[in-house]
Amino acid sequence: MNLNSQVAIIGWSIICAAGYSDKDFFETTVEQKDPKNCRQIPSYLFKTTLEYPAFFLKEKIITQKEVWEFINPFLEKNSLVSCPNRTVELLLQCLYTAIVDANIEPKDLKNKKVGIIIGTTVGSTFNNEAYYKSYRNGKDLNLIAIKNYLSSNLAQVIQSVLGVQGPCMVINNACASGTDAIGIGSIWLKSGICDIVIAGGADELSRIAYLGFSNLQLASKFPCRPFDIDRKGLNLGEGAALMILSLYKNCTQTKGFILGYGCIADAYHPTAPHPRGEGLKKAIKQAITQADIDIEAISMINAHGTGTMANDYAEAAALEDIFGDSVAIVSTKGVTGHCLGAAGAIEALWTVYALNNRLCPGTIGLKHKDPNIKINILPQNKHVRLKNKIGISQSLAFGGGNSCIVLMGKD
Amino acid sequence: MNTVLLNNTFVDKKNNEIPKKLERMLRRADNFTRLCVNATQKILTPDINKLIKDISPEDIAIILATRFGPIETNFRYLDTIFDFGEQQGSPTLFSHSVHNTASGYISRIFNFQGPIYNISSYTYPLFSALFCALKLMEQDLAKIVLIIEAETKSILLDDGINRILKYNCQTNILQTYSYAIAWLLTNQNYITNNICITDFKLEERCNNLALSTILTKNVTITINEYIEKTILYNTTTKFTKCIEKMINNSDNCYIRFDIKSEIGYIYGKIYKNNINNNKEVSNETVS
Repeated sequence: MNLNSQVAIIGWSIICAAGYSDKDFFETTVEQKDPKNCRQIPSYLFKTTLEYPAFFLKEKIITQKEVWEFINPFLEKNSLVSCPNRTVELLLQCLYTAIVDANIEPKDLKNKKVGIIIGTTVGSTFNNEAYYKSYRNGKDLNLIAIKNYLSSNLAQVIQSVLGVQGPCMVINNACASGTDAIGIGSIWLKSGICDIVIAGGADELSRIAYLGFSNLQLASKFPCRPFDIDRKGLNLGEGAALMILSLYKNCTQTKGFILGYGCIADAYHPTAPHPRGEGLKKAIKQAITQADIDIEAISMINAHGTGTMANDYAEAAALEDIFGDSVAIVSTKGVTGHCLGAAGAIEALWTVYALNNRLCPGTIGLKHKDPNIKINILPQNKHVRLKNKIGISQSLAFGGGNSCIVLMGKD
Repeated sequence: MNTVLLNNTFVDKKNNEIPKKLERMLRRADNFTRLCVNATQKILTPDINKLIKDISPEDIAIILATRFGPIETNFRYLDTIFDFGEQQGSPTLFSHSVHNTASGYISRIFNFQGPIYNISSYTYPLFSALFCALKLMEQDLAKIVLIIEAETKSILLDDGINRILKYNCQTNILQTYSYAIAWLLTNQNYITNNICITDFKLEERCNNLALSTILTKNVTITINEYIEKTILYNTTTKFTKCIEKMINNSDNCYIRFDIKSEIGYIYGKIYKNNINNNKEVSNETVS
């Protein structure tokens, strides 16, 4: 494999309920304890009468002075952004940490072509219920809600903070958005249009999404149990993850590689995945072909693993067809919840971290595997040492999207 | 290999009548989805269907770009919450309130199984989609790409934005409207009246956010030597109409487009028929 033409990860950052850093997140999954952070929604997020627990972060996202110093010039320049919303705060916190992690001086980016591609769901929706209620009832309107909505395109926020030029996009592929953002970012680098790409995803826990998943009867009143016979559904989560990518030949440091990417539609149903995972199978094969590796080189797979029956069966069917029971499979949603547009990026980052440690922890929440599922999904409290450093992270989405990236750890 | 525009279409309120054969499949769909599906249906003329019939469904990608997505559907979902309580929110409305539902419908109805991307951008949705499509085909991840830009009218947004403009003593008014623009592109070597897209560049530099991103006034569209100043929100429809005129009125020709504003520029050339020996479209043709 010629590494020089490969897309390398030169820095990254993550925030989710399982940890405020890559190390914390990974250690939470290694500990294999039942999640303590899957709780009822606190009032600082929103009020609800429903009792579906979720994974959430502290009230204040940005607490460090240096992060505020980093973003304050942007806030002053954009006087309309009086108060960045929670998703923007998640993103900016991650941006600061990723830039530091990559040893990049922000001013050096101004001479480069910097592509920015961010996945989100909630972050692109006007979810201000108070504004809509006032509008509906003919009451006075607080226009800050509209101003903030029109100032919160996540990719443009990063572009504006860094003052850089280049392609700039927000991807709204529902739950696969984060995976697709990283995949498309790697396409940009391979086609030579960018020197650096900042890719990832961010999503806050929103009341509308929370109610929506409850109304769809997909949410569980208990911590989620992916691939378990006693599964009851998913828990929502919130978080963000960013990767700073570059071609390896231009790097001075690397954390891992994006080797291949596949994205295929089911063309089957508006919300449910294809029951045999047909689209996912093709997406996996496409990613492996693009990575130019043999299937045997894959040592672990980070499944979408939401804990809904439709997802579990579709994913298991696709993985069984391709890999049989030979590959270690895990889901991390038992400690993060489903972070929607951020999920794919969070899971991709965790996968590279696991590959770098040559260790795949078990699936927290999975205690009694569904007997209809034949794949080698690791239950809670079962770790596997990995033979090699190549793995897969995959996502399924509303609308029938299936996305997959092939990742490789560093030496 | 050049990228070829096989066909394009524009659908708005006036011509958004859903064909009978699709009515059943769209019975639960919201306006945003119906516009997008209808634009796709219109682009797939019998000639185009003949042309693409041998392409594998997995090689046909969809890129749907929008500024606001199905924003009104989100409000209708909220109505059900406000009126009937948290447990009685409509799951159908919720599932249609996400940006990628329309592309999911298109994929299912027309059996396009390639990559699906949904992009949101307040600046250049169509051009962001075009940019993404070109890269997808360059990397051989798709042979055909359907790109769509769509919006639905939002009285709430019109009201909010224009209140802000009035407060800031600005005279321009933004009116959202319902439309969908669809382009069908390929990197295949078809022998047809090719419209080739070359030299495409998209450079965004977003130094200021907020309303400037959609209400930038100093947008200059240069199509060859013809210059028009407009507000950003109108660039795509004006541009698409220019291309329609080129397709309808000229034989061998090209247009050179250059869209400049304080938040970036777009540059490209679009040829009709043979890429060599073409003449620039006259100013009258595109104006």
